[in-house]
Amino acid sequence: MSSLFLRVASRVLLPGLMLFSIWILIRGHNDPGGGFIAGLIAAAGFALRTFATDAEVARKQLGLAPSRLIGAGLLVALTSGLLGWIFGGSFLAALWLPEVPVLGKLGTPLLFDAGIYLLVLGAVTASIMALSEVET
Amino acid sequence: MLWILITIFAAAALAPALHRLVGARCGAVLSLVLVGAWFWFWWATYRLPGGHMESYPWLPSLGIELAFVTDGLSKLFGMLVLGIGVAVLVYSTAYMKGSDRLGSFFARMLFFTGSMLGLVIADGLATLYVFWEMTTIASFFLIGWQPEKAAVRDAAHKALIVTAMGGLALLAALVTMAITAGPPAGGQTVALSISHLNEVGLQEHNTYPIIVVLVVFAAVAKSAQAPLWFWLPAAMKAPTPVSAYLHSATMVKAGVFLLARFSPALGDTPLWTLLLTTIGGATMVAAGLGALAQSDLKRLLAFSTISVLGAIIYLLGMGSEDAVAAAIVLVVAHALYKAALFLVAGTIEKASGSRELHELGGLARGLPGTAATAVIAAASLAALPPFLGYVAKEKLYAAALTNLGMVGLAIAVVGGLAMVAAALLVAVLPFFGPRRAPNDQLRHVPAAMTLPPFALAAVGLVATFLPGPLRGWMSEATQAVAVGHHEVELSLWPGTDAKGLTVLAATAITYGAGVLLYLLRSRRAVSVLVGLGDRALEGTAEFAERVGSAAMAGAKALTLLHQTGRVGSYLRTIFVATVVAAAVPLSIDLMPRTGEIGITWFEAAILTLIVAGALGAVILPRSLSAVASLGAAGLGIALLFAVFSAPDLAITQVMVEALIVVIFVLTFYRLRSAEAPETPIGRASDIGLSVALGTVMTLLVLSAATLPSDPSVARAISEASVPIAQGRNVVNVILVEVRAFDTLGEVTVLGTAALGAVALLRRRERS
Repeated sequence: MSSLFLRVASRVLLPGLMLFSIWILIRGHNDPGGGFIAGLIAAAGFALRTFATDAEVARKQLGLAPSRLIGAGLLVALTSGLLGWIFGGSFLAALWLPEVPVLGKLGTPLLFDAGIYLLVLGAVTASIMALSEVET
Repeated sequence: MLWILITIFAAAALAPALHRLVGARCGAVLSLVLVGAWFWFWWATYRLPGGHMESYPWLPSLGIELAFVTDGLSKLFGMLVLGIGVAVLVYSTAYMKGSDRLGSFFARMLFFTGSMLGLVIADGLATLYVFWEMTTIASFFLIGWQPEKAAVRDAAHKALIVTAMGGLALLAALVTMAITAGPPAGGQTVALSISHLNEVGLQEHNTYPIIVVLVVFAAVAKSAQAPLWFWLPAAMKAPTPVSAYLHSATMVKAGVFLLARFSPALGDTPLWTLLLTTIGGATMVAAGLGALAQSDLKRLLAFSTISVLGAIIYLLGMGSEDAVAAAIVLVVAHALYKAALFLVAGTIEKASGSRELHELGGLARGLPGTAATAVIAAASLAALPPFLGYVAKEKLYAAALTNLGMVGLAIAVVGGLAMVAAALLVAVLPFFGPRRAPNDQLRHVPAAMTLPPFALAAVGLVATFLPGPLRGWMSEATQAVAVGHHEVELSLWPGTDAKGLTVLAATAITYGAGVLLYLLRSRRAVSVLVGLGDRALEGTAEFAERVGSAAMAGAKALTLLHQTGRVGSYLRTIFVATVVAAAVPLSIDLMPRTGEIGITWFEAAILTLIVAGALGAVILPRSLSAVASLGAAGLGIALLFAVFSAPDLAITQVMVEALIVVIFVLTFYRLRSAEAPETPIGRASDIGLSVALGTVMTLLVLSAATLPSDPSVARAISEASVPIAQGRNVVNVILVEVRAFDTLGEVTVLGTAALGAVALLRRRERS
């Protein structure tokens, strides 16, 4: 399924959607957004790219294989919990750093959310890419 | 104590890495580590007074601790486990040489060592159970060393299932014991340590019979007694060091250990004595005779092990001090000579290429050291003076005579003479006589394979003369079990009183009859007799096979009944179940309250969109249009969320709709979709089901919206959201902070589902 229009559009939209998804991730704690939604948005961008070109190209652009993203996301989420355990007394305790310009407050909840983001991105992308590669 | 365990387990974890680093020398390093642990254990327990306890909190809310005790019994068994472990590890460095999985082998062996050690020093009930099951798992991995062979897999499965069944029985027994004994004087809710149970004693309570049956079941399974004995000969598929360590000297002794450990709490009643002496005595005789029917050296030794374990249980059943002392001495003697004999069998196999008795002969010239070891160890097995085995046998006979009279003695004598015959088969047949072997040239046997078994056997010889610490340990062990001060005498002379002379006579009969049995073993009458023992074991094995197959067939039939492989049938089942489950509470209690219905114009417009979308999904002929129509309905719902101030939900709904449409498109374009039922009845029932489901869901949602609910949780969260959780988006705060653990679980499921889907799609692609 390739068309010139789709190819060009997806090439432009993908970085935009990625930036958008990261913005949604970071603002999630105070405004509508968060890890799940951000992951879905990013995945939509890659889905578009998969339609426009094919799964191979999209996978290369993703960088990491989708199944590894799932593991990476889970690892990040667990790490945020472990940090809470080591430094905060109990698993998943929330620890916050002082405020940073642009990014706002950084802390283990944001790290956790980032893990969710990666995992959702990986899960959806994996399914879509695998589906698109099935031979009829 | 805990640190010794940690060291051993750490060594196990590091073994593969060590193998990669230093190659085959890792065996030597790990043996040294185990030697160190052995000394450490000896040093620690030597300096501690008897009955020292250590405990670490584990699940404080349930009162479960990691508790250890070092009384006589645990000291003795600990020294055995570690000492024999050292010998076996050294032997393995040569036996397993050339294997590229050497690190993994040592890791599994050390894991087992740690588990077994933990088992024998355990005081807490939970601790005991955990280490018990760890030994089961370790045994599984060690038996299954060559999983590419079907027979090996089968043997490992058998062992696992039988011993795991025993483990479940043990768990049930432990829980029952804890509840029965009630709280200790200290105050916890439930008594959770063995020492407490031993103090309290459970013989009086009405749960006692159940507990005894369960504990005996667990011990029978683990120690391969009748009728759960068929897994042990099968387990001989494991490499010989494994057989020597686990399936003769240590792991199978765990059942016996269990009975000894709980003797103070459970022993000394008619039920106990009846069960143990019957099972022990019968096993001792049947397995002892069955050993003589075996042609495979390792199987012979396995049967012999079962027989001796039966003898030990026979003694524990009697329960008196002299019986317990006999049991302890027999445990030590057997561990030493049996491990040595198994290692000898391994050496024979490596050197000559065979384990079959009818293929071997005259190996003494080529394997002098091994032959000497075999003779010494077999002499202990046959209970010749002055070996430790002799002392054990004398005590066995004396105890049997005292506690069970002439009948008891006679049974013991039958067991004894079978052992004499077995000893001759093992020591005389392969090594002396005309030279026979599959290999023309005997392969060279390194010192690492001759010294350890020799050392083990030699201890069995020397122990009688230099009793020293060994006698002290055995005495302490007897005290721990039989409760009462008892010095273990390692004397060679049973005494000149009537009892002593009877025992002496019995011993003489044993030797004579045993030799006779050996010499006449090819005679028909004899082979029929010993065949009975073999038949008994094989019979239980076949029965177990049939039970297993029937269970599998039943499970398969049941699964095929409801796992049809078609999404349509799964959905229909789920929908019917949902309708029924929801209809019941709805009709009873949960109907929504009616009231004022106000609606604005744009809400009406959104509703129209949703309804139109739903209708379109049903009416439109082409699948793609139907999916797009559903997408429109989904977008309508998202708009509703937005209107009702739930922006996160709205965004999520929009994204999910978009992605679902994408996935549907891919699916419909690439995969064949399920067909709608052709028959009018099918369609009518599907329509009815859909309407019912929709109605039920609508009523549920309405009642959730209209029934009064407690707002306090929502209020608490929104109040805490900014100050404590530092976030103004309550939904995200809940997902990521308040209920973060839930979210972690959910995304794990999500990730697993995605991986599963990808795996299935890839398989389809390949096929």
